[in-house]
Amino acid sequence: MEMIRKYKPGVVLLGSTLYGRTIAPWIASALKTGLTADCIWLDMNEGTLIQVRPAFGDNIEAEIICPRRKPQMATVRPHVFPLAECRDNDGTCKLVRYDVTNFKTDFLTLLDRIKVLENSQSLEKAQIIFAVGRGIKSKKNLDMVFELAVLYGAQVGATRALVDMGMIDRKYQIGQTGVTVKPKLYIAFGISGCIQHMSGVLCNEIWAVNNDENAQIFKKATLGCVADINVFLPLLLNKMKE
Amino acid sequence: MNIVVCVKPVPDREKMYVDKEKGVLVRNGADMVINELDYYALELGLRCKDMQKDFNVLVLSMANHNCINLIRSLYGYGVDDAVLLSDKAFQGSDTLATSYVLSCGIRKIGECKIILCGCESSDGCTAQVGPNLAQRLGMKLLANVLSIQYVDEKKIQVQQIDYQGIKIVEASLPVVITAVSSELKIRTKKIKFILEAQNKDVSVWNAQDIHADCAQCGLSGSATQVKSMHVKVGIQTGVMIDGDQEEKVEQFISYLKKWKGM
Ligand SMILES: Cc1cc2nc3c(=O)[nH]c(=O)nc-3n(C[C@H](O)[C@H](O)[C@H](O)COP(=O)(O)OP(=O)(O)OC[C@H]3O[C@@H](n4cnc5c(N)ncnc54)[C@H](O)[C@@H]3O)c2cc1C
Repeated sequence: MEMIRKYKPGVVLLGSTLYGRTIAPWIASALKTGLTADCIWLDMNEGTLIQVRPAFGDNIEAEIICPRRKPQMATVRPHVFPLAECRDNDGTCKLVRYDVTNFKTDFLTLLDRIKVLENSQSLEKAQIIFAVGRGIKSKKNLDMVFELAVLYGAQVGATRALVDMGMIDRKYQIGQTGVTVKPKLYIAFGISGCIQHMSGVLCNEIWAVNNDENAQIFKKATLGCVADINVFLPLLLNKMKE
Repeated sequence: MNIVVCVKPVPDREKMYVDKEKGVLVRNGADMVINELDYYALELGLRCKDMQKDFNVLVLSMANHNCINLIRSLYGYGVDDAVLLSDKAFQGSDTLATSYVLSCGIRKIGECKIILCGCESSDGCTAQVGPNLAQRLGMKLLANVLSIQYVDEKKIQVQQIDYQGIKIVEASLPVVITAVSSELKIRTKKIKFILEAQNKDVSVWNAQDIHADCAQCGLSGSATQVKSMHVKVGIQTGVMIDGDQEEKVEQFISYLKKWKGM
């Protein structure tokens, strides 16, 4: 806030991470300005920031602008743009150092940490992902997917539905409220293909195994297979081992 | 002491679909339902009341007047009061204007030390209203809360998700809490409450009732504008694998091998 008041930028961008999504609206509210969440594309048009974000679920994109107030604020989904190279004072950007040692919170006390996330970077950087959803049903099936992943050199990811069931740790969650992944190949086992999950999957090669031929996921899949996981997985594992 | 749970009626997603040929979103008769994550917020609020019997749990919603029965139905879970903020002036509010209206409603209710909302809504998906409210009301913010372990008049202990995992924190009141989905079991309605609800009304307040400045509500109070919406086209169904179980697995494996250049 102090920095924004001091430097008066036209545009303020934050990452659409757990933390960014929490502080950005607080800042926007304090400045009484607009904020567009989870942008997947940005453009500048004569000083106006064109902010593109997914809307109403499947396949719709909305262009949002903030015409009358400043700064124009957006949170941006991780990894939708390639990392920019920014060297200090090279003419295109300037790095400002700000002393934050005087800021602290006094209303909050940390009592305990009950679960420490292992780094989810392996998922974010994975080239191949085997993702599992509620259709997996049993621990046995889940173990098989992990085994298959090791055989094929893939990482395992999951939907929130499966995480909420307590079947798999939250660090595996892909999607809007989880990790955004950018693999070369993404295979969905027993996943319906809800937007909140799929919006975290930036991938051109999506394969799906699902027993419901009308599942949404097949509309996005480049390769689909209608099959019952309970039968498909053991067969697949046995044959892969051969 | 009041606990306010903010809830949002949203169109039932199951009944909405995109007409790809016409490039429009069909919302035909999609019923309104309470936003899924708001049920987690409500559950957290009711659990506070389980721990401190004299707490008062209110639900607060800014919505079209025809959502009144949906809001009334929440009495069935055991909430003490329900308030609907409804006015033409509120229509078209973005998150900035929405949180302004809600904050006016909360000020009118008074004596609120805990405000709960779902972390985000299933239709807007911005996760902005909770943090906005905290800022406007000058309250502290506990975002992404899974469960409440302890609460009294002065402090609260919660399980909260952060980028490192799950932590237990204690905060002094007042706080705004945003709830995320969790393994928390959401209670079902009780017949006793449903019957009692028949004699209970939903208070309906308009802009004047909550002393809202209309310039800060609705479209005029909104900072953002939707410039355009378009349906992404050109997404087609891919190859489907055919055959009996064995053949499907065989084919799947050959695709896997091909893909890896094995
Ligand atoms: C605000 C908000 C944020 C969210 N954020 C996320 C997020 O970050 N990540 C996320 O993943 N979700 C998120 N969700 C949840 C999301 O909307 C879906 O509920 C979830 O992704 C569905 O997970 P699923 O596909 O595993 O389960 P379901 O939708 O239940 O699908 C299960 C699928 O398995 C298939 N199946 C069942 N049995 C079998 C079988 N024997 N063999 C083969 N297939 C079978 C079914 O046909 C079905 O298609 C969010 C929701 C909201 C409202």
